[in-house]
Amino acid sequence: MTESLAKHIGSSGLTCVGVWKVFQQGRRVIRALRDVSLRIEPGEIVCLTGPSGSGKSTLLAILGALDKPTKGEITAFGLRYESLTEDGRDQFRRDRIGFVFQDLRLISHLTAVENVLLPNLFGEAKMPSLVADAENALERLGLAERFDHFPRELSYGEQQRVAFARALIRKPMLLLADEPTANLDDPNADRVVSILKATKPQGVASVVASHDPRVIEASDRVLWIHDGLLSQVAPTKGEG
Amino acid sequence: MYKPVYFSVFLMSLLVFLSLSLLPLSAKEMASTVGNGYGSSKAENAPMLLFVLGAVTGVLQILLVLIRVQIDRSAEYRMLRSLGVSLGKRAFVAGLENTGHILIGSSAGVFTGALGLVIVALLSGNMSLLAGSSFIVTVPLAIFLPVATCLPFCAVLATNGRSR
Repeated sequence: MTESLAKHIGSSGLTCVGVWKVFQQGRRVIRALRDVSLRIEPGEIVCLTGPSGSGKSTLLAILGALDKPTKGEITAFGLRYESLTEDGRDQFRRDRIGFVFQDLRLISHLTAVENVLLPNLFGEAKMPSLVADAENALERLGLAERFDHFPRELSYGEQQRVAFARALIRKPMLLLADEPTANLDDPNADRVVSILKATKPQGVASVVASHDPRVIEASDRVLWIHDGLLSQVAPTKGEG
Repeated sequence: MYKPVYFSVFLMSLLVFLSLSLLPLSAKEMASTVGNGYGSSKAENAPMLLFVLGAVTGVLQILLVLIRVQIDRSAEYRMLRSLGVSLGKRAFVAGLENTGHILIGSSAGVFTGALGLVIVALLSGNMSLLAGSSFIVTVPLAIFLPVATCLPFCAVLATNGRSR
């Protein structure tokens, strides 16, 4: 566990209080999130499940400081999102949050290593160490033979692992994954679940939007969201 | 993904180069067709008007293609945003990249136009074809090509401060 990470663990997690997200679509008002409150502890895996269009992705975007809530307050790792400037939000995402998108969003003309080192590219680190870090990250996820392969040369499962390596390379404190096992076969889905579990001892809080029973089984808690309302909280394991 | 941009910039710059180079010739032809009457001086300006209209249409067409490409790449930009890359850096990288692609496309177009003009002039023995404004465009071409080649490298250097 890194020192900076240890400093935050225990002292803070992620708290979301009374969050609303309202979109205006012409004359239609869409309440994507309605009075959502939740708390996520460091090292906890939370599965967010619910029907399509229920607000899962909106909640992930808001938790990841990609989108602002219409109302409500979010505090993560000692920082209130509301108090952050746009640059501060960028910095916060860069340093503390890892995203795995449903469509992966790997850059097609970059190799696996280059895709993984991307989050560090805009920082101060020197290129040789960036490449070494990216190669280590890929190696940990069993992609040692795939460093110089382009996304089109990788299977979907391998691309998924590249996306995880990219999300985890900066050692985030919060991992947000949108349907990470969708379209994966059993062995690859199991690998993704293993990756999620492996982040637990490092104190990474994970929020995973998924319907997959394997992800639900691996989670500490399952949150059910429907019509923007976090209506059910079902513990999957003995909490506490 | 950038092939349509290259193609439209190439075509547009080729047409602009050729019409600019052949402008004196076409103006003279137009005037001689009309004759020495009252409208001959106005007729001389007609090719210039067509050239300007063509250039404006071409630029608009390139902009439309570029906008389409940026829409297709919006997921990439959103991904960069999720990585905490600031708006300024995203705009800088996209701006440099697009400028590079436009310069490469236009350099290729102008170069092809100049080459075509030289071949036609040599084949027809009419060297006056080369006496137009072609040299005005050929000089910037000499600057465009190296700049266009360097830009992608500049983008990498600017974003990281050092090469791999």
